[in-house]
Amino acid sequence: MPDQPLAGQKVPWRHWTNVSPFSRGRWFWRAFFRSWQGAVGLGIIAVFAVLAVGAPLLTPYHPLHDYDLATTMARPAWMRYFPEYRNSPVTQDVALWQEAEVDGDGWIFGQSIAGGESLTFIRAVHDRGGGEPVRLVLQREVQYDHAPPHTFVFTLPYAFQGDPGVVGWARLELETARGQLFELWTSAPLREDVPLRVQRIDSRDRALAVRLGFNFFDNLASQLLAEPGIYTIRLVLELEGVSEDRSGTFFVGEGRLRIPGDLHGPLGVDHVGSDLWSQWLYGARTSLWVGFVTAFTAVVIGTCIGVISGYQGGWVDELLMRIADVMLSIPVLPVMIVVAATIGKHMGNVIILLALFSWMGTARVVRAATLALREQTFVEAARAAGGTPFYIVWKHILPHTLGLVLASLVLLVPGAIIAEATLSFLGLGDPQMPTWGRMLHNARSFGAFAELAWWWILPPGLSITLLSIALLWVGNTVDDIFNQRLRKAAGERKDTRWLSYGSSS
Amino acid sequence: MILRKWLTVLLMITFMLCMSMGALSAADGAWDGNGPYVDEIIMPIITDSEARYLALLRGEIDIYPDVNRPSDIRSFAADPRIDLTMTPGLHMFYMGFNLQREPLDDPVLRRAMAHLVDRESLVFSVFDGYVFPLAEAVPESSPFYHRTAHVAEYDPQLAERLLNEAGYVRGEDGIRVDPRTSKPLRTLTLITPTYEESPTSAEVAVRLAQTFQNAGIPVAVVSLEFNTMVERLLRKDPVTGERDFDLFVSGWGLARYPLHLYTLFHSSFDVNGGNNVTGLRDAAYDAAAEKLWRPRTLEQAYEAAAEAQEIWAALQPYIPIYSLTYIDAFRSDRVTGYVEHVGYGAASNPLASPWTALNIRRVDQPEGRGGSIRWLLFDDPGTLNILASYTAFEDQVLGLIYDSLITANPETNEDYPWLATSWVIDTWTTESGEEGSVITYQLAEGVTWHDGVPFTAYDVKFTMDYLKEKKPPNLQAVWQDYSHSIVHDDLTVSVYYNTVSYWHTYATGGFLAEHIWSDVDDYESFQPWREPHPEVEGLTKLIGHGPFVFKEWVPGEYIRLVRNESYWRSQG
Amino acid sequence: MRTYFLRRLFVLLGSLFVIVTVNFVLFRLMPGSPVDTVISPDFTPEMKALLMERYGLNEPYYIQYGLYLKNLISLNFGRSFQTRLPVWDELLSRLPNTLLLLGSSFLIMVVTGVALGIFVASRRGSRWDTVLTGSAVFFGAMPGFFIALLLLLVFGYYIDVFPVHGTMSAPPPTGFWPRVYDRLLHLVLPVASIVVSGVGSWMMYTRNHLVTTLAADFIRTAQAKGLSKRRVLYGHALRSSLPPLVTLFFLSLPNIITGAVVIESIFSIQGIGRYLLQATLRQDYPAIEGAFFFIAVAVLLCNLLADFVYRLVDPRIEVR
Repeated sequence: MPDQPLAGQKVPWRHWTNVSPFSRGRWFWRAFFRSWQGAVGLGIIAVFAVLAVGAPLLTPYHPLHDYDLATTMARPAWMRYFPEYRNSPVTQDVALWQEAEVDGDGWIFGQSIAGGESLTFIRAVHDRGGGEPVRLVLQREVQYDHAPPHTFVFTLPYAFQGDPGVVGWARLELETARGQLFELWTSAPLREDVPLRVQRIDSRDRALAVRLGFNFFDNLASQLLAEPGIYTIRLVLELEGVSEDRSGTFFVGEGRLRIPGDLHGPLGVDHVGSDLWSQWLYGARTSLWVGFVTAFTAVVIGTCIGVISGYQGGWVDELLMRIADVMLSIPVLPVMIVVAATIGKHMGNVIILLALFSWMGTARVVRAATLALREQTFVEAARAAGGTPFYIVWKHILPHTLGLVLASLVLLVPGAIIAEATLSFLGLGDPQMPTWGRMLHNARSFGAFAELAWWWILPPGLSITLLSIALLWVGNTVDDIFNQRLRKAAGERKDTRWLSYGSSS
Repeated sequence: MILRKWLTVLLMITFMLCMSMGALSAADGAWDGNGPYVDEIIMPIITDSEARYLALLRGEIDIYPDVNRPSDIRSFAADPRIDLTMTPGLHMFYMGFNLQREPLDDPVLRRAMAHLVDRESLVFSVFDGYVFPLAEAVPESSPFYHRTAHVAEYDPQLAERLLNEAGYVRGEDGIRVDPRTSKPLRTLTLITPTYEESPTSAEVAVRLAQTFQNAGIPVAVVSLEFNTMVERLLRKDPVTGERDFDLFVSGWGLARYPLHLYTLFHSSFDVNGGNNVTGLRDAAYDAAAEKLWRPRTLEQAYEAAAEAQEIWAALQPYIPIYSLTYIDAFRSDRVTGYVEHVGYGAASNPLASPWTALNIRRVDQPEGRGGSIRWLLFDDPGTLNILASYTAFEDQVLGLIYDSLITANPETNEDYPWLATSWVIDTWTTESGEEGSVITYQLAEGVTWHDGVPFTAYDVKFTMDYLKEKKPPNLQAVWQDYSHSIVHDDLTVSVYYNTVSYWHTYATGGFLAEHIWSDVDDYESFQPWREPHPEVEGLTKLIGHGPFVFKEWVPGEYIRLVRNESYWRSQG
Repeated sequence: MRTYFLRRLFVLLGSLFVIVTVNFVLFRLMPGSPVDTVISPDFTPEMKALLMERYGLNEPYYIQYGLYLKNLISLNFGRSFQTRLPVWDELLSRLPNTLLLLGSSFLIMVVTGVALGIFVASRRGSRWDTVLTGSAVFFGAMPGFFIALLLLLVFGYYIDVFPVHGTMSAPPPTGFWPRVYDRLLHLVLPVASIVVSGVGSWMMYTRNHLVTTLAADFIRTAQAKGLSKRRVLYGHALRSSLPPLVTLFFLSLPNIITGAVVIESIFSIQGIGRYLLQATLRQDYPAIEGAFFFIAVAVLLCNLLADFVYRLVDPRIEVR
């Protein structure tokens, strides 16, 4: 079967137009599922679509705005089954003073609520000191069983009230499993009223590391929590100058120790601790949306132009087809780069531009089909009966091209998805949109390669590939079903499609 | 209070660093040597951050200036072959207000918002702790840093109280009410560069917006391309006199002298296209800023800077957020002798700090002399034409080729006599009867250009006259007040300015070789490195008097410089 | 024949018009002004006005447009804001790197692709056929930049064997052959990326064409004459497949040229594509315009060439 040219040639129209629409559908699906590629492809697309639509149900996190969920570039949770990461820390959030041992004489305790929030405070009042400093120690032992963490954060809400002449201090100490004592924080002298504040002690505080005798670049968390064992955390509260008529009151809210984990979720987290699984899910949304909207727009444009061109013929046909040629010979990616650079990186721009540059294939297919249909007896009959061109096109031509149009719609999607991903990867995508291309852009910009974070790099890329293959299979199956002859009449060889998908990026 | 403690610690670190350096210099004159010591500097040009990282690990480069990805810093810190230096930078990142729009014209609201910003949390979470929180108008690495009581530290309780007392009480939906209109506050727009252009700025902006939102002040983030953003900020509608934004985040690299207090906040710049985008108009502040812009002495400058900062903090036109640190990475198994310069880093700004270039040496060379080092360059320098240079990469190369008249002590940032061994500041009366500065420089002996021609007072005069004639925009500060020069002898020159300012001392330059540049008419398209030297073979017209001589540039690949054999300082 | 040339002329001029117009209009639609890329806090308003003046951006649009057309014809794209060099010179200086990259990858891709195509066509239905056809589908559907990233990850990071940026070491080794070796080493990953992403379509095309041809009448005749399988394959089937392959060669050039933008920026190769992208990120307008025009015209020329070669090798076929 050498390639037959092409336009204008009459092709016998073996139609199934007599069959009712209902049974036509059944016929179609039966044919469709006979092809394993079509079935598997449709299955894959369905899975992606379900994940994309269900994204808000499948993840509690916002893909971009929820950060610090775990330590930067934490691995996927399932990697704990690898012996190497069995001991990796998982996110821990320890309430410190609930079960603290209290040690100190002469203190009166109470509860109070402050700050308009439902934060419960231990109220510790002392008013019986004989001028000597008095102290209260809240002590909590924490069992730490994992490998050294990357980060820890203490939060300590406190407030102070004191009569004139009374000075208070608060101090946080950590005694390591090895028995070393580190003073993590000391408050400034507290006099009179100190309103509620939340002290934060962060292991990324480089100045703290230096003060504790470590190097500026040392990781404080892994230095301090270096081995499994029991760690003692002490909050030491001291008062000076209390007496019968001068008292001091500490308000201590629930202190917390948070150790962000090294393992998190199905795909881990990115450099700022955002959930990659959410990014992947919402990326699937964006990809499918961009792909189908672009393809749909392109197909609408293409069908209109194809029908007009084929039905009208003459100079209109000539002009439209030459315009198609012009569009075909302009490289899309550079145009998209220039547009992104000049009028902005909005997703709408991407879609419109991609649609403008991808209607030509559909137009040709539809044009050829229209040419063939125009000579069919039922069309000629309609024309003889005085049907307007619009009526004839609407009633007799468009319905028959629907299958081809559907096929070319599906086949346009992967190209659009890949083009959008490429643009995002180059850093020219819509900054408000989570996309797979952007995941890869971030992976490359923020050190995923240096960390060999394959769980960040592989999922988006392989998903694009898988989705493209699935769409290709489905499209080809549909295409095969709906009349291979028409496709050939339109002069589009299936093989050349490889070119545009293979290297357009 | 927390912050103050923090800053004390910061001072301590700086002090410790200086101490360690001082110890070194006492032993072998670490930054006062007779360098340069290496024979050749190759500057590989690597634009991709991954490739840069890999290049240092693989040993393709020895010096990686200004490492800014936290993941790289962590990885380098763990590598025994790599030494990292950390130097507080002269830099400020901030959120700015539009002071001429309601409701932000209310200082109480601005103040309260400033108290809401948890700088430490931002610094730890976005930057992994590798930058320093900043609450003042001048970073602490500057000698002009002034500690003022007016600084708004993180204190959400105080913010809450301020807001409530001023009538910004929460409505039913949680949004605060504007006491002047009794309506809920309108949503403020916070303008930020896009994620792609500046990921950290965008990140900070989003988090700030969340903070304000939680406090009942609705803020929406609008990310714009950098140029669109700048256009929007600078545009002051000629008719309504309004600027179309409420809040914005941005950062500036600052100079050794805090002249940004004048150029960014003086009311004369509150015009369409002017830099005073916040629209600050305050007579007292203007007076202080003017004093800072035209001080007669350094003492006056210090005074004026302190006064300006004092007023500035109370006015709160910005919420300063952080100040960058220069983190430079060295393959310590190959090179040694790098010098940390407060405010400029150890390898990030050769134009401002010549010390590392002069002192760097290879560990494997006998007596530490000779050999070749590779010093990473982030991108192609534009033109290597000192009059048309705009990028930091360009300055990085030019800094090795040119010397300045006066440089700075790396530890204290005090003046360090260089090509000018001494100078005398005086005044004169201009033709229009105004008072102006005149500075007489005594130049060092034995300085030659790379082609052997002596560097003299005539080159200084030529440079200044040439600049005055051509008016290159990037050197405006140099020529705008310049009048004329008088050469007394080969090594003595008096430079006359039309106004009085202590800063004129540093404005004077002598970097254009008269015998090369006198023929250059169109300075903008002059590509000195592309044109062979008329007399000396192997040289181009890109010649200076600095420690290294330009040899070769393969665009996109590397730049090669060799040691200046007749460098004036190495002759003893 | 005449209609054919008229059509081609129309398409060529039409494309040129679209490109030129897109180029011109987009840059005037754009918000912001170029002065912003060189802004610094120490600049005064007068200074910004001076810069504006200096870059000639105060002229009315129609004068700018006239100037623009005149400049295009004389290949004068203006000077890059960034480097102050004529954009045309910059493009020319970057052309060799792009040509080397595209030339070598193209050569390897075509040779390997056709060879693999013949290989699987002659073993139709075998396990090789399944595996190679499957891989072709797989890599064909994979975005080109992702293939490059995978190669970078594997051969740049996991197995640290190939250089990952630029076209030469800094400084390059001395001596001619070491230099050649150095350059080749730097070409491995970028070329491999292009080849992997494109070779599949060549293989599939060759294979499918051969398979159809082998079923055709004249081949059956040849087989009936008792010619060896090999002789039939190479002597008859392949020869008849050549013309479409030659066309495919030219038709796929535009995609490859476009793909260079991505590959060059991933591997930091100082070429035309990366020039466009860098100019874009720096808002260097003359450079963007110039690079875009250059790439677009290169693609147009390839299309034109494809048409003529197609007619040359197979005059029976009227194109489109």
